[in-house]
Amino acid sequence: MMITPENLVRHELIGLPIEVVEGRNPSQVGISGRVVDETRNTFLIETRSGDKRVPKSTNSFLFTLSQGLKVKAVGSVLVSQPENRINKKMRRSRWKL
Amino acid sequence: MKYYECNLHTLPDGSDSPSRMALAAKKLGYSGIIISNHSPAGVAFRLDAAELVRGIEVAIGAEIVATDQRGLHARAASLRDRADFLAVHGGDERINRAACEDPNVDMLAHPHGGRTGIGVAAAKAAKDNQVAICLDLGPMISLRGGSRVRWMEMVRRDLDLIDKFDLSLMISTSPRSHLDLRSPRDLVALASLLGVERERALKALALPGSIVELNRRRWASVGVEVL
Repeated sequence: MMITPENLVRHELIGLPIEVVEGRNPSQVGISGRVVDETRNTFLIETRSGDKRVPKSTNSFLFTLSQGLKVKAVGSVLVSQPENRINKKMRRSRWKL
Repeated sequence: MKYYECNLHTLPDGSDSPSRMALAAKKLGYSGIIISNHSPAGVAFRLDAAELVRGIEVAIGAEIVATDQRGLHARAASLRDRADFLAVHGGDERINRAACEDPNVDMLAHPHGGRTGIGVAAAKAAKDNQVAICLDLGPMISLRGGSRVRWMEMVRRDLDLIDKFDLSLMISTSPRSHLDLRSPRDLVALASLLGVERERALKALALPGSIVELNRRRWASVGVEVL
């Protein structure tokens, strides 16, 4: 199934280009690369200067989808094991987290 | 800070056109107005003229008037994508609670219409769903004597609940004509009589602007924004 902004939260994210655009830790903002691994609370990002592990809940991420579509996702909605994220129920709407 | 009048009614609900309201609000020092009419889809008469008024932002919202909870949730879901700002006309205890339980709703307007105010259950739900409570100061201006005292007592009780649950507050006079509009400075002074501090009142006047800005972005799903 093709990855779209609507199904991004429930999709496999490993392999996608990613950038940390906002976050509580200023030294992690700006890290960009490709997702190579994912745990419940972190992403492992392959950058030019090595692999970096970045927490999900305190950061916002910019994903580049196919056709160059840029999508910003708040990390707290991605907190879940990748295999369980497909079933994640969300009662909130839009910016309300 | 940019101040917004968040619950404004224009023709056909009110008695003035959107452009007249926009001009009057600009003169009073507002940065923007949110037209939230009761009519279906919140369509305002002669809106194009209001958008030509320079120096003030005109946002289109809607105010849902519902008689039961199911109708409210259905209307909120259908209007969500069309309106920049979604308010619910409260007053009834059941409607107040249903509005606070719906994450599509941005603001609960006139919660003190009936004898009861918000209530603990609704306040808790409003906190969870980030629904702001509108402090409608219209009755404070229009009522006199004992009825105003009773209204103030009820609002004070609700303000205690709003403090306890740390809810978002907005301030308006729900104007239906340009003569009902009051300047931000007047609203801050009136709110201070109810025990709302100056900083909090100023923040309450600026909050609608930031919510409209968030609602105007393209959200593909919860927390996911298309750039």
